[in-house]
Amino acid sequence: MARPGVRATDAKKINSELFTLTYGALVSQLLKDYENAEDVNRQLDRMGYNIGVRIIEDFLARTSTARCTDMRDTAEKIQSAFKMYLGVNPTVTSWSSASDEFSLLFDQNPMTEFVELPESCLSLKYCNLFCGIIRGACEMVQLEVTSWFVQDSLKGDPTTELRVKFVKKLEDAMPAGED
Amino acid sequence: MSSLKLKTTILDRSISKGKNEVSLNGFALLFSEIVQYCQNRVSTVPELQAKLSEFGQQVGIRMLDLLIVREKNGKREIKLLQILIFIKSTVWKSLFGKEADKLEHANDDDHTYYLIEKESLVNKFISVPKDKGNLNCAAFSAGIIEGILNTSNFPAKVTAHWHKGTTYMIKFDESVILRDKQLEGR
Amino acid sequence: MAIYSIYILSKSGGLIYQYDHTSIKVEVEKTFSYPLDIQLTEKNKRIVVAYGQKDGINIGHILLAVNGSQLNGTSLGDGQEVTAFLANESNYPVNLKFGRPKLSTNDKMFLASGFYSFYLIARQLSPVLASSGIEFLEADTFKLHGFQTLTGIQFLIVTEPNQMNVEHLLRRVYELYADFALKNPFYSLEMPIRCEKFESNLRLVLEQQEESSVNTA
Repeated sequence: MARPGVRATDAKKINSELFTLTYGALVSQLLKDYENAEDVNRQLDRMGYNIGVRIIEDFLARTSTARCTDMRDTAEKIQSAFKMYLGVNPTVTSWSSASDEFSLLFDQNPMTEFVELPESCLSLKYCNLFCGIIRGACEMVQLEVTSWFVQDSLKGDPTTELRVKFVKKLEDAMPAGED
Repeated sequence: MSSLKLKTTILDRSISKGKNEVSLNGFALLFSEIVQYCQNRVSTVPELQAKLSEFGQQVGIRMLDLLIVREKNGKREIKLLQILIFIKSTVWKSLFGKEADKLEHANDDDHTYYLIEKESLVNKFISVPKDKGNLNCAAFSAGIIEGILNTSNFPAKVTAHWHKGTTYMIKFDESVILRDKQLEGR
Repeated sequence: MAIYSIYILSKSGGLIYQYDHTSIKVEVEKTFSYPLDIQLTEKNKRIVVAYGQKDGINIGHILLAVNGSQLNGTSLGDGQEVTAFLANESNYPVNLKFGRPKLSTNDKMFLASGFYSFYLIARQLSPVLASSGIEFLEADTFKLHGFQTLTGIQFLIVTEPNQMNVEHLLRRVYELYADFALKNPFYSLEMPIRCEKFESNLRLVLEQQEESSVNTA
């Protein structure tokens, strides 16, 4: 009973189509509201950031994770979060030689299930929400990272590749008293 | 440039079976973000509900296509009661994992129906602050119903209210009621 | 077994939530005759027992009511100063009600941020890196349990000394925060939590916890 972590209520799942279509409705609304794909990308990143700074608490509350000590650790946590929230298992790969940069490869992605980009939207980064989420979530555990899409299967690339790069440790934001 | 690459289009894939699942927690955060986005662009509660309803309508229209192909063999509902039952059971079960609790016909108005659910999935984590009056974010779900009805050629207005949990008030256009009576006569 | 109260501190040390679950009411009433055999003094605009502890009236208790009517600071309902009233023999016998002062919201905020600094000091005192900080603090009448998340939010629970399973409860409260505060579009980060569903679910969890520890005891 005292076991933290998996509990019946946490495992609550919903049909991925509700999620996919709701996200689709959001992107199409943003395209109407902004008319410029670059601005939509920025807005998606911003909304992702807002989700990221909240989802990290959910992740920590439900997994009793210890603080990451290196980027490989972080990559593993991000990977498991994708599994936990979206039911996908991206591959972690293409490490830089300094081990400060890696890629997540998505061979499957519920966000794009019903999506086809029209020619007019080729500069749209449909899943840019992910970049914001990762940035926001890492920032809350005092890690500054950047992330961006290198490949996008919606644009005819063979796969979808998200790159994540370590920038710096946010020492000032460390919970006081922790080193 | 990218159009030169070989693309598999969405039509080359088989239609999803609707069995994939994602976490409710992830959805709740996305929905919360959508509510905040809407809230920043309107100034009143009715406007906010209308905005949420628009989002829902987009979802409803697409869900209808999907369910008609997958569950209904391509056949659409043409009778009023049938489409309401289709929404109460098939749509609600697919989207929210369970049927809506009740479907009622208004006593005093044959244009009006009520679909009732004790707790709307979208409201699970939401506490509406006092200054937001009777805002119900299930306006989003009301939009889903409205999107489905309008696309199925049952023009109607659907609104969400705090009553027995959440009650969706479905007000059909006069033409729908007339047509349905004619169908019955045959 | 009882859970007294819960505090949540933001990562900057501000109190964003406080809830008193089981409060212990300490109130003692007694009728006195002249002269008053208990020393009272005025402190922070309240009348406090300074000396002469007796019959459950303890040093530090404050005077709450005189002859059944509530005090307003140091004065009676009609505006008369209590000290003058009690010095007058003709007002005796008099019925006085004493009790433990309740913490005001300001007191709580002040104490919470004080504890926060204390917590930091404790961590720095640790000779070993990455200390958990204060996990609990035990006193004869209560036990304070703390938990700081990796993001810096602090959860504090004050219980009876023998309350079991509080570690589990702390995590449960963290989950409730992640659900009913953070997934609520009307809650802004770092701000006081005023979410109906957060509070009602918290109350439920606390009641379940108290019940289950009674059953296993």
